[in-house]
Amino acid sequence: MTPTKRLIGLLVCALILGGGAGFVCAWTLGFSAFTSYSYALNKAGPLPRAAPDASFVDQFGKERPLASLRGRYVLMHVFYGTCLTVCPIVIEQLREIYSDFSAEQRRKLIILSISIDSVRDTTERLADLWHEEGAFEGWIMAQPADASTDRMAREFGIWIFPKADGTINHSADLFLIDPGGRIVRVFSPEAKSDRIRHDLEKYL
Amino acid sequence: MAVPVLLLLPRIDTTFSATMPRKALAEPLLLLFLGWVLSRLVPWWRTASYAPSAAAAATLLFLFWMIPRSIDLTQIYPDANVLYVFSLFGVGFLLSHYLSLLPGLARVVFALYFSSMIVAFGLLYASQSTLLCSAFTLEEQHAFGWMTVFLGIIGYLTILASMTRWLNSPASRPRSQDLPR
Repeated sequence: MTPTKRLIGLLVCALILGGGAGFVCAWTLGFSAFTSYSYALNKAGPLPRAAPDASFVDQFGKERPLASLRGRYVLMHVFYGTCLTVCPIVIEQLREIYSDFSAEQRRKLIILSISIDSVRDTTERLADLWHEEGAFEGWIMAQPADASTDRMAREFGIWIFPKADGTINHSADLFLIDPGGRIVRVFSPEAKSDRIRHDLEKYL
Repeated sequence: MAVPVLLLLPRIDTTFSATMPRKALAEPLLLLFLGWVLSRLVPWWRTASYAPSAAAAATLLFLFWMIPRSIDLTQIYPDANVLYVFSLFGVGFLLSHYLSLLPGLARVVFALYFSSMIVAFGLLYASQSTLLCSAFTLEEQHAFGWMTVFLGIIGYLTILASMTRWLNSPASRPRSQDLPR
């Protein structure tokens, strides 16, 4: 092998390594998002950021803009009623946290559970679920208005993947929106109830 | 080229896409094997100076398709799945063609690195308590992780066995004219 050929070979190798590393860096948003969930979240932008201008229909069939909840902290997440995996765990976790708060703290906080299954989670079904979970006044169970699930999910940074078997894989993050309508905190699904409660108490 | 196309046939693709171990382990292994075997049957221009580039390209392609988000995309977009099938076939093709052109020590280092990469990915997928690939389940993710670790360990053992055999072979012993007089 001549020195020229060796040099060209090394240059090509360096080019491939550099180009490949650059591509993976861009693909993972600077090596920070390796899963679809983290990619969607990071792509939506850094915190704090304005909450999307979305509307939802609550468990009583009333359409409301997200902006109508301003003035109180909102802990938002998405779920679907027939989920057998992460959703029941998150809802139970939220019920525990909310039950433990004082009346004063509850006045400052709304829990907003938005269903991503507009077919099966009808208003009646959401109302039933709301009763099952304790019918707390400050807990809203809703679905996005005018089929805006995709836009809402993209703007919040939520990944939703409906599977062929009818289940829906989705991000299980909890988004804390401040009284001014900005997303100020995202709790990951691994966060324990005690940790979430402790951190929420700082705001309430 | 017809061989990887076969894997894209709906019935075969559905079979592979049914679970994570099939999609992210069995299919890549089959594609690497097919690429490796077919490269032996097809005459191809090759030069030793590009062997490190080929090894780097193969590693990067393999690494890219082990990223959870990349695996997800193969389940959502058919075009990404075509890219997945052809690029992993290409990895097998490249490795088969160029690995033998690397010097012996570099080959061993590369094989150790590749096995370590597989073990690392396996441990990552097996140890996470949250779902990494949204197209599959957590149970499948853990099964895939442990199977991948197992595969990496088999890789280590194969390298060890090859090295032992090579060290015991006459080729590794100094020739009589090389010995000091």
